[in-house]
Amino acid sequence: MLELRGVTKSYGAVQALRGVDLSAPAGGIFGLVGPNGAGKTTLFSVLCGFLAPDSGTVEVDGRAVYGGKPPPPGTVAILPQDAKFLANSKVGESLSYYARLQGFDAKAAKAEAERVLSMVRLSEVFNRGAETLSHGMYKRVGIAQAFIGDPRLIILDEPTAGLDPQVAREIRGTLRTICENRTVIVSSHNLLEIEDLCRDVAILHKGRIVKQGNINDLKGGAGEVSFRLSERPPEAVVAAIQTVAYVTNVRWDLEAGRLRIVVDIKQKAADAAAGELVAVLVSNGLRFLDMNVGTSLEDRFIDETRD
Amino acid sequence: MQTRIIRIVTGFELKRALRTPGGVLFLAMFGIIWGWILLRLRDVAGPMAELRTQVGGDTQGMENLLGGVIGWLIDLEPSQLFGLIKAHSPLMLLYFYLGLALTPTFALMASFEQTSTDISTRHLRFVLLRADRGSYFMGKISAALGVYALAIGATTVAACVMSMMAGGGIEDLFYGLRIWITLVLYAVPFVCLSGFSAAATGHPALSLLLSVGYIFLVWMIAAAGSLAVPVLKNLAWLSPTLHKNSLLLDTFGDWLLVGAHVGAFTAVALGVGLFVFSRRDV
Repeated sequence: MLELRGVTKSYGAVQALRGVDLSAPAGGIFGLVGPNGAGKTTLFSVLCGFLAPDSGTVEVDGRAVYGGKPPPPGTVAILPQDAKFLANSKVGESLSYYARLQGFDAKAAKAEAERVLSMVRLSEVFNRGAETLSHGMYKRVGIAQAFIGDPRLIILDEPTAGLDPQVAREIRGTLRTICENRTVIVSSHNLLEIEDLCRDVAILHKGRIVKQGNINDLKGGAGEVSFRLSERPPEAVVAAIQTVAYVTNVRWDLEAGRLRIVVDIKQKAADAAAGELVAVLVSNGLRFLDMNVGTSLEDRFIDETRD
Repeated sequence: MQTRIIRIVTGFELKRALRTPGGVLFLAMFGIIWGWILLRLRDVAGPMAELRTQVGGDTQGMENLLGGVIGWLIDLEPSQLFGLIKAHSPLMLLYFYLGLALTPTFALMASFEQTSTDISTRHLRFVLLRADRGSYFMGKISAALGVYALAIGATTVAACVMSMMAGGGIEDLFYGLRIWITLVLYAVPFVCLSGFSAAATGHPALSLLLSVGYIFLVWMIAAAGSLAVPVLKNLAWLSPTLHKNSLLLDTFGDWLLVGAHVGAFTAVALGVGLFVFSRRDV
């Protein structure tokens, strides 16, 4: 669905993109993660034709996107990170306007605006000014506009940024429902959110894709079981875990506050080992806050983006 | 460029004009200043009608008057003015003159926002996957011109009504139509200048400042600077206001120079504006 090859973009002396190669398959939600300043927004701008790349090629749905020219209307839509709707205009008016620009006639445009608002469960804001909406509603209207005309590719740049956890969860729920059978690219700093939503993911760091693939393959660490603890475990407990037959390594990750235990999966599957390791911890009087089987995306992200 | 997009943007922006701060500011200023002018014109409508009768008498005194202060202000020959007053309602003529004098200010006020707010709020990112930049830019220009055309149309109708009530005839209506078309066409270069300023600055207030600053600076250098260095007078060609009073005249030949000058300015402002807008980061 989306292919980028060797895309570069500089702002004066600053190289924002340094030869990005990215491939997003059709169907499903694709995650793009990267630290601040990694080049995510620039990449999206190039993808949408807002910016011309210095070199490289971009293809959406098999059609080349030429430097600085957007793909044909209705092919790609975006929820930009910090774009604002027109002040002094009603939500329904704005959405109908976008639909009209996209090729709908006046009557169909109004119906399309109503349809996308109902998709995000905000039909009641059709006649409200965008400036009167809460932050969460505003984001959902932003998501709704991206679905006008059912584009082939939808880009959501930080769809839950700045939202409280409850609203963010609501939006994730909405996305899970409405993104079914569509190709969606989501960027977020919330890696749990990306893990929760996406099937494939790419890590962008300093203008380069440093890792890309299926989220489970990318996380790797199939033999790792980790526990989040409120404090460093006593040495005696670490020693007790080390005596378990299939445990090959135990280490306290101070930065993450996690006790990381590597299991020899030839002897015992990590899932099965996890249950037994819980029993070892409890019998030694340790309480844990959560448990992970395999490496988390956050761990992988930090490994890949560490300078 | 797509006429469909231009039409949709124009229609949407015309409807929105009354709700934007820029639109309200323009209409408030336009209403106050033109309201006051029209009230003064109503007061002098009777004496102005008499003036036409006197000119009909072909008096030397009148020609002297026209060649004095008024001639200097309007920058026309007394005989040309004399002919104009004989041919048209003096009240309508005065309205035409004031319209030409105020059009630069009000056209800039009606049009300074254009794409600047879309750029500063990044609203363009919602739009540009649905509309090409050229058509969107032209739609904004067309809407801004439409706002000015409607506003100046209303005052022209008021001037026509006053002139007819003071003894004018149906010919005042036709003259009013010509005045309206001329004022709208004369507003085009200023609206295009605003289009460029809005695209270049990406901020409404800076856009207004850049356009007004340009016109003012050219005028200052050409008028004041030329006192010291006469050749600087030629800089006045960089402003579409240079030959505006020739638009008052009735012969096609007199309009050619001003038409070519205003047309060239419009083409440059529009071309540069489109170039800047099509290449800028949004």
